[in-house]
Amino acid sequence: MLGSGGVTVMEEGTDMVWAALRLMEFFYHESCGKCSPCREGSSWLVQTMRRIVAKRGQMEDLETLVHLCKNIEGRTVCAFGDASVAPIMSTLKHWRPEYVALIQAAEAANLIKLEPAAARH
Amino acid sequence: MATTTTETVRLTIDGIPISVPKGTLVIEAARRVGVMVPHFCYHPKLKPDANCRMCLVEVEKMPKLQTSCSTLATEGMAVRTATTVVHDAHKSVLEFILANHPLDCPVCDQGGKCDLQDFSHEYTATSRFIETKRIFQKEYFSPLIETQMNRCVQCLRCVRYCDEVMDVKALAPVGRGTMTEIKSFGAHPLDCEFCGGCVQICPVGAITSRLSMYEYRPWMLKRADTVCTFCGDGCQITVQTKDQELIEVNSAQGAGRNSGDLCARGFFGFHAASHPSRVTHPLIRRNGVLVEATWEEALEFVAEQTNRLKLAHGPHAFGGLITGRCTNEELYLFQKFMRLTIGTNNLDSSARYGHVNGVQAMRMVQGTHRWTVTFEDIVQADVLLLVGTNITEANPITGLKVKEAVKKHGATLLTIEAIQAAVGTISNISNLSEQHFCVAPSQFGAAVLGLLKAVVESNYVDSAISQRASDYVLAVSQAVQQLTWNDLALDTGISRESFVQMAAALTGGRRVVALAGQTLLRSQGSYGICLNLLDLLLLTGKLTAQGCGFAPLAEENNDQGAVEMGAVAALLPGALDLTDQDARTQIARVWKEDLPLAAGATLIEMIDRAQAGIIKGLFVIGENPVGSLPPQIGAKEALGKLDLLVCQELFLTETAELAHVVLPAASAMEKAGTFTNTEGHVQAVRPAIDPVGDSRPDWEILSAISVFMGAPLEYSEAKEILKEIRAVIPGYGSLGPSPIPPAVDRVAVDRYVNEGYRQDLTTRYTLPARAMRPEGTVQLGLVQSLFHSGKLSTHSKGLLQIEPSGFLQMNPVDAARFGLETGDRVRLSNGRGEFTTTAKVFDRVPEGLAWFPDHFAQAALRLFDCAVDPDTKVPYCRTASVSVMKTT
Repeated sequence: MLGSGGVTVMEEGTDMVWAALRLMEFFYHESCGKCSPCREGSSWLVQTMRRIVAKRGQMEDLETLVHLCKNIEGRTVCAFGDASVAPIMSTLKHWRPEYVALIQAAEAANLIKLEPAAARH
Repeated sequence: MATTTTETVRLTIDGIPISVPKGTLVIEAARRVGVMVPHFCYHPKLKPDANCRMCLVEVEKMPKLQTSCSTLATEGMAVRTATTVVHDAHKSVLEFILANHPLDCPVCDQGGKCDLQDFSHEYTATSRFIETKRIFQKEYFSPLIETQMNRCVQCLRCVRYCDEVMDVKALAPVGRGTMTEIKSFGAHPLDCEFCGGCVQICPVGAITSRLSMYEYRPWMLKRADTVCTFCGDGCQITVQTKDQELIEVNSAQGAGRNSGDLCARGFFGFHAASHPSRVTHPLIRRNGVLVEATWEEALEFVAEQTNRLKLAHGPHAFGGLITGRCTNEELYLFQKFMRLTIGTNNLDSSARYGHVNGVQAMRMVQGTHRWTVTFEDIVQADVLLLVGTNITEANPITGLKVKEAVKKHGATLLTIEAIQAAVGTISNISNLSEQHFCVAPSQFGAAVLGLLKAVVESNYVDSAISQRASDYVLAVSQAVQQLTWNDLALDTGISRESFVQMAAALTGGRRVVALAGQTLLRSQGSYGICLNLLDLLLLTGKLTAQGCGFAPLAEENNDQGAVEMGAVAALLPGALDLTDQDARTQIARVWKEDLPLAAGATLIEMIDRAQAGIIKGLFVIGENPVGSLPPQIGAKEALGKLDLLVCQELFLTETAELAHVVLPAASAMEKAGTFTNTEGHVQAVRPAIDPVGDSRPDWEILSAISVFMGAPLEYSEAKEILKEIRAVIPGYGSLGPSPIPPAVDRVAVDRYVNEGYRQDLTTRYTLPARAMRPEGTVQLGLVQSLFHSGKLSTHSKGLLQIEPSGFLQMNPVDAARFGLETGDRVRLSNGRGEFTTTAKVFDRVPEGLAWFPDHFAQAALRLFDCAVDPDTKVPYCRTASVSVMKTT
């Protein structure tokens, strides 16, 4: 389930984290801003997702994403908040390795970046 | 807001059983058992919005957590606020709210009184937010109000308050999502009523006052709960000071008659008292110049001169004037000083400018000198009739009660006001009315007569009064028969059908309150119009019914107290007739001396007597007849002839400049006592700072003069005077949080319907002369501005930032006729003189009228003439016919 009754067809091999980000960006854009969990949560989720997609994520982000989604769900004025967390919740459930791969890539890059700095000490 | 009924429901909050009225919100029920559910967007004054989601609670049998601010308590409900689930929910919502909130608490004015700080502390909030915080472009908001939108938690309390309570709608959420910011409508600095409500209601530091910006931390301030000194509404304010400096004014939800609401004057006007031009030392005129003196010198001089003049010319060579801004204790002591120490009834107060009209009408018809209703009755009324109140500007907080009645409780509002129903930057009460008659102040009388005619002709007369007082009803019926609908329509522009429609609405009401304001009370013939309004209530059976009544509004904070303390010529303390033998005996027993019997001179009479050389000495306390009356009256010349003019003043006014002695008086921020508001509620005034310079409270000065004169009226503190007032007027003083209004005196009503009405019925039931306005002229009126009160507020730096000077306000049609645009210079002239000012096109002004704010009208006064009411001696000098010429 990616957030609504509509059916979305994607090409085999689509980057599902990227897809989740695109859907999340839609929800962030559409959030009216009336209630705090949806307003603040959608903006937070989008920023974290962008970091992960840009290979600047970290493993703790995955736990934070789940927590944030659960904290939005059921606590907003309308059902939009509930719907907005679905892309991240279901992609994390079904395509978690894709998230992990992106974060591992980020960590590897960080390691390379960090090494010369560490060497200076 | 939930409406409450007598029906109750029982529920439990965290296992504690409680019974609350049906319609109570869960968050309120919880508060009653001492459980505080955290919240940002909820406020008892506002409709639930449930947007912050902070107040989530568990309700048994409900699948999800519920927002307690929008859930009604129901029978058998079990609410839990302290479970892990609820705690986690609160913590998570707080984490969201904190996500984009800048942690600039060290420089935030809200720091120390911030809900977000307090809840974060309570929930030991931590944040996992490592993304970029949202940043808004800093925008200039207004001269008095500062916004820091980065701190905003989007609870929309300010926007909702501005709309729901104030009916101003100056604020709006602009943008969406996290980029929602609070702005004024349109790309301009905020232009509104400046009530300060948004500043007070903001739970964080997003909207703050620029008057106290970056100046203090809340815990550094000393607080004093006192009463505002501007209009008669009598709002409770908390004055915050630091090292004898006035920093800020607040008000608390639920406290005082205003219950936390304030207007611009109350919220931003507090600096008036601490203006640098305050008189801080006694001044004595030597060789024609006022020079500084010691208190001993000044008091000795006053006492010697007074004794000398009294010996030579007798007590009636003296007069006294006092402002209705003084405390009851001072007003009481003033009249005691005049009546006992001096021995004359020549004394008057600013209540004479108009308030006396309403009071005398009430005394005449219903036998009370106070309202028989309270603010609560206004809120609960189902029909409200406003006549010449200009309520938003003159009595803003009473105005809020009217708005609450209409907006929250669906009351029918009927208005007879000299205001066009135009939407503007400040709220316009006529926009809320079911039926609005826009008539010039000179035709208020005709409009009321039209209503009376409609009541009589449509057989709306209450059967009980017809039976009880058939002669009276017949006399009124015959009087209104003399008037023709045609004449009424020509005078007021209102058709018979409209009159009948309004009369029907009035008659159909169960709880009807008629409010009469300053525009009416200060217009010619107002005493008669007030009597006619009381006739209207009497005939429709609304005078004596529960929740019904007549409510004349006081302009100055203690005009009502001035009347009740007997600080007007014809009345003794308790607002009893000077000739009332019982009252005289009672007072003489307390004073241990007899009171003078000779009728006293009123304000204008005193000026005339000074002119004629009959009055030789005048005590003026905070009044400024030279500055407030038209020069035609000759106050300046008359006061110039006096052998002794003593002024007790805050500032060197036009009157004080003529004085032989000026004694520096302490402002209401510097003294203790009581004020009586327009509904007759007596409230405590407490000092926030020490008297400025060598100034002293007026009662202390009067007491000191009497001591130097050798006839001491000695009191150790203001409370001692109140004790004496209580001996004279049993039960006077603060009697709890809300007033207990007197009931209509049936005996007085009987006296009126049997006899009293006869003396002036035919005069009152005659249409006012139709003013033929020559081509090229307008009717200039001195009006009350929302941002000022008398001349006192023109010393307040905050209010001067909103309204620094007066403009001639004119209807667009008239402006076009004279070729005027906003900002043009305009010359007004008539046979008495001329006056040049700047024009401002303002669609709220009715055609044919032009407004100029009273507070800046010094130079315009020469255009005005003065007529004195034959019954109440009120000087009418607020309107003048003037020619208008564009000039450069």
